[in-house]
Amino acid sequence: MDQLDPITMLPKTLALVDDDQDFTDYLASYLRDRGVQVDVFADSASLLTSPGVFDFEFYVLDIGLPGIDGIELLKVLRRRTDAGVLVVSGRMAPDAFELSISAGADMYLSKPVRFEQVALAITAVRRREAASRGNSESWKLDCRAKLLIAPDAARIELSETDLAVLECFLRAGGATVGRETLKQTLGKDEAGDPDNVLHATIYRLRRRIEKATPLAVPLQSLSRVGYVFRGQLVSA
Amino acid sequence: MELHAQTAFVVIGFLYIALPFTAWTIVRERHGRLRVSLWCTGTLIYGFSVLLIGLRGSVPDWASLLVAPPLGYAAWGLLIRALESELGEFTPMPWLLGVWLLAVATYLSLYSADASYGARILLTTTVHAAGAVAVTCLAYRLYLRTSFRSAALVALAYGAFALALVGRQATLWAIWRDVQGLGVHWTFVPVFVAGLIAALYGNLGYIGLALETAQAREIHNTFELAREQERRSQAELRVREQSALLEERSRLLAHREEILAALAHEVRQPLNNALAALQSAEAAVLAPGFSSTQAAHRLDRAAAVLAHVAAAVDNTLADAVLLDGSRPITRQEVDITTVLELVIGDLPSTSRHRIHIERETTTRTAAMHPGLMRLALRNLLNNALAYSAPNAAVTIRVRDSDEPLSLLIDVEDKGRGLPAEVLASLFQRGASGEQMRRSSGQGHGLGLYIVRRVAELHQGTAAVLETGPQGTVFRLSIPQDIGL
Repeated sequence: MDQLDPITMLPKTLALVDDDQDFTDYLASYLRDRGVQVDVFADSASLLTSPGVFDFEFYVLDIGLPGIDGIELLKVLRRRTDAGVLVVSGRMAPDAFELSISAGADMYLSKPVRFEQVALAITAVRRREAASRGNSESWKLDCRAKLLIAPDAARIELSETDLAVLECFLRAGGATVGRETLKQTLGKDEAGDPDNVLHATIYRLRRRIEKATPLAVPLQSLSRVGYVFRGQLVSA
Repeated sequence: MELHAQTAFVVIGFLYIALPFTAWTIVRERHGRLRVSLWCTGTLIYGFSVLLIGLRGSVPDWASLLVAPPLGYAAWGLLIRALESELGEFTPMPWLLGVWLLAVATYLSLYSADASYGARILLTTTVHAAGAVAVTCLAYRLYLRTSFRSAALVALAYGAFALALVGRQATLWAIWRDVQGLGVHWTFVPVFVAGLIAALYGNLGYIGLALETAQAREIHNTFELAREQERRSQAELRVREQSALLEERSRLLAHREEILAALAHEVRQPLNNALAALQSAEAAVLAPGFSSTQAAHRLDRAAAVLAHVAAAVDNTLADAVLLDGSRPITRQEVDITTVLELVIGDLPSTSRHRIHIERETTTRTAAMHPGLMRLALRNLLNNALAYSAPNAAVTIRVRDSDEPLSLLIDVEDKGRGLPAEVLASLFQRGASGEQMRRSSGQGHGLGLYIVRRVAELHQGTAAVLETGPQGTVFRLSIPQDIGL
């Protein structure tokens, strides 16, 4: 799949769950005009009792739903589907964002939003999804030459620290690597808070990879837990 | 060695007189005066009684034979009373008096009946034994109650005395008819020794008792005082806490008033304008010579006003709800361009063409709170658009920083620059609103304050990078070495 494709990648099917009828009417028609098959549900129960509840390519949810809470609905959906989920909420609760993300939403937008912004968010999530799923080709780690070779053959020079970190991911084979493991790898000779040093190292590494290749970098942070290399990483 | 009975009596008598004076001197201020006087008087009288008996021959007979024994009996009564008052008990006076009178009467009748010497000795010994036993019991009970060692000492001393006296009495029962003198029988020796012990240690014990009681009372008082002070400081602490809470409460209420006033101002009037624009657009559509451009123009105006109202409401609500900073923010790894494009979508459609994004970095992903960044960037862009010429460009530049490791977002406008006098308070809530207010009704009231708060919540900074007649550049610096 071509990561550079600028054409908006709207899903073919989309479930829109929101009790704000004005909003859903306008948004549904906007998306339908662009070729998306939109099913509108006024509450969680309607979605959960519909036949193809887990089969949609994308979900747009409001979390302030009557009956079953939007966050709970989100958790239920995440058990059975990896499809993109965008939360669009009129709530101003300080923890709404945190709750949504930790329950598994891919993105969170506060209302008021224009439809173009919703479409933008949907395509951004889809692009990220596609990038991580399309990583059937491998990233190669050359320990001796201290190089990381991207699937498009771009070469990224690695420092000692970068190499050590990537070796952890190599050993993990796609599983999450905990923060403590990585911190131990980095050692204690760095000045400053070990947590910050770790985040800085990962950020710099990702930045360097992004500089070398337009491919999406499979390096992902998992809040409070650690990091994961969502792609194939093999030894060169 | 021979123990001359009368000498022994004199010795004991002197002790029994000297010691209470000591006791009196030491403890009368610290212990209840009445109690101490009872004890000291009792001991004194006892001493006199013993002395008078011992000095028989040197003093008139009536003194040693008629006065001394009753005095001796009375002494026990006083000692008993003294110890009872330590315990807080009270044998009624008539009772004690009655027993004393009985004993005295018996003695006098024996004396006048010219009974044998041994009989009188037996009686006296009996009374003394009873008295000593009573005192011992009282002292022992006092020890049990207070655990004062001195009380135990008194009990032991008088207990030994009581034992000796009881022993002597028991023996005398058998042989009283034959007794001729005081000291003839061997039982006198233990009585003498015990009497000495009682004199000495009994009184020392009493002094100790008084001192220990005084000490206990002082400790108790100190404890009470400390507890009282503790209670008071607790109360003061509570008062302070409550007044702090009240202050906080008042501050929040005042803030809320401000917010409501701001909302009333920023929302009601513009909404009115938007309504007017929509009405005029409706008129344009219904007009005979319907011009779609004219109608579109009026609709755009209405949309722009509504967008500004929405922005003002968002700012106000963010100030009230989101930005108090008591909880750390959650970040997400986001595509920078997506965030920027979302923000541009918040701007009036007629202004969007003025926005240019210049990426001076290849970094695509950064960690931030997308909602808060959207708010901050929207404010910066709205200001930039409002404070420069209607078609002037507004540029967003994205850069890297290594020390500190952060993402830099610059918003540059080609306005007239910021006057020096507003720079100092630019990012404060409600700063310089009136001066900068243009006819569009926008103020610098909350916008930049929110930009600063969002930056702070990200543990970053917001600042004016440069300003002058060529324009102004605001810079947001978002650290990237912090976890999600």
